[in-house]
Amino acid sequence: MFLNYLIKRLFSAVFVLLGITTLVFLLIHLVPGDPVEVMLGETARPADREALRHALGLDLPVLQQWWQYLTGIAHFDLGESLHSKRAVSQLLMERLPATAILSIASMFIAIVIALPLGILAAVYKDSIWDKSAMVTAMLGVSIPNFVMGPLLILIFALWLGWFPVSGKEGFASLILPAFTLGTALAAILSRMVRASMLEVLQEDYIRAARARGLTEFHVLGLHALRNAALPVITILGMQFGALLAGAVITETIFAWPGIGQLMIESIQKRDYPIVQACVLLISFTYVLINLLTDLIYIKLDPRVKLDQ
Amino acid sequence: MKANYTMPMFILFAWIALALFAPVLPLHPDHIALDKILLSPTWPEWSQWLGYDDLGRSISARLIMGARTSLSVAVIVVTISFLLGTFLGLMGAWLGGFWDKCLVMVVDLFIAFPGILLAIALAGLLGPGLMNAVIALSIVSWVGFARLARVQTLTIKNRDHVNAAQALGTPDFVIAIKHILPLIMAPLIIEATFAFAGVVIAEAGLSFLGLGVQPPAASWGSMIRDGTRYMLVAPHMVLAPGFAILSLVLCINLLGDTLRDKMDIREIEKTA
Repeated sequence: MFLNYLIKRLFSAVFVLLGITTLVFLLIHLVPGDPVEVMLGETARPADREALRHALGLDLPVLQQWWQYLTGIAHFDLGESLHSKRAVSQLLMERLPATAILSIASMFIAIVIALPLGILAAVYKDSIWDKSAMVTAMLGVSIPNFVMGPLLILIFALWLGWFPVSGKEGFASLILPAFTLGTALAAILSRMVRASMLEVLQEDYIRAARARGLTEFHVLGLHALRNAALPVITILGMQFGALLAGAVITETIFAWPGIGQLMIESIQKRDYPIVQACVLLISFTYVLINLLTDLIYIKLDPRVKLDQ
Repeated sequence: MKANYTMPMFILFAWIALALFAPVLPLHPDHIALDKILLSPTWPEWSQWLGYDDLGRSISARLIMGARTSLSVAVIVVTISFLLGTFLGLMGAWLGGFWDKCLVMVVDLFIAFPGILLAIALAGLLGPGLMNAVIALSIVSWVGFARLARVQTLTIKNRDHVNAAQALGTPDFVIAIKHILPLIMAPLIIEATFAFAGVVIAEAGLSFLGLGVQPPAASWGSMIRDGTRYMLVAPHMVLAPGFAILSLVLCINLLGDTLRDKMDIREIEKTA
């Protein structure tokens, strides 16, 4: 049964990836006017224009262009940068580690903040703990990262001098961007942990565990948290996409040399093949992470019935 | 969470009033005072309350113009996405079959793009400018409404009063407007509230990246972007628009929460 589900899920994922690729392919046709003219400027020589048009494959019929784009991606060929003339896939690979480190660190920070906050709020429901935790979460949701980032830079880099202002040099430079990116996720996550814990704490097996005289730590840590974690994992997967998209802005704030910064730089330079590739890479990662969380969810919770 | 919503309501209306009356207020958001470049906030003249920016322009004046930008973009985008999304979602669920499948496919595809990413890419490719930002945000935002309207319509379309209306030969669009729309309105309005907060953040984000309004027009996002270069000497350039965004978004989110509690949306969602 799991195999059946796996095949079905993989099939739909492939379909979505195909759709994403098509949409990203069509993006270049959204450029108002002639994309070649936009890229080269109005003063370019006609011969140069034709050369670029040919290099981008824009002189072919749309359907053929689309097929070329698809087959190219299947071979990890994402075209060539218009400015540096280097392979886009190579540029992406150079930037990928920085974004990976940043998003994993942010996720880690989000979980470390959200778990205790959410559990505390659920266990002491309606207390001052609960209220202040939820007010904090509400604040966290409402502060966009381009406000949070400069605020953190101002306090911790400029006034206190604890961390570098921007760039990627060593561990210290990771802290502020990871916090900037992690707080929004922490806010959403802590509300989820709270809601999930509240539900689980009413279950019979929690009462049974308490009746057996287990310590509160044991009840919460081993019985409640394990079950409350399931919906939280799903949210974590779904929010990972928002995290990756937020990384685009966060990397720009902190001059963090990742995919997001590359994308914004390329938008400014009108290097469209790179912009397309960045969108593609981030969306693909998001779809695959979601697929993975779905599968993990099933493995973790034997109660999930697949045929429903 | 039971929140007192008089305060958020008051702040929200204050921003709306400032944005509405900005043209008749004695504001000079583009006026350059060379002797006041990077001036820190000072009393007593109100144009100096929040200080001056790197070109010697009053930040309080620009903040109010920014509120106008922010709120008008949010109103336009949410209105477009609300109408388009609700229409498509309702149609999909009502017609069913092929059209519904098409709608679900398109919605799934758009949802596969994480967060604001597609809007950034669209705005980037269309070129900088407020109009293009509105287009990009609308293309991304209608999906949420369509999905919600579709699910809600599916739960209602087989109710007795709809069947009765059909049996009486009521035209489809009358059924949609008179018998379905009122019943799916509550969750859609709540969605609109959160979408509004989302668009305010997204517009400021695009402007922060240089993809929204173009100078000299003011937007909170571009004000923060300009301010980050002078943070050590003039932190007020970042703090003022930062807290403006925070206050507006926080108030809308609080109101959305209150609204959700009042309309008890979870009951509706559970039957879906």
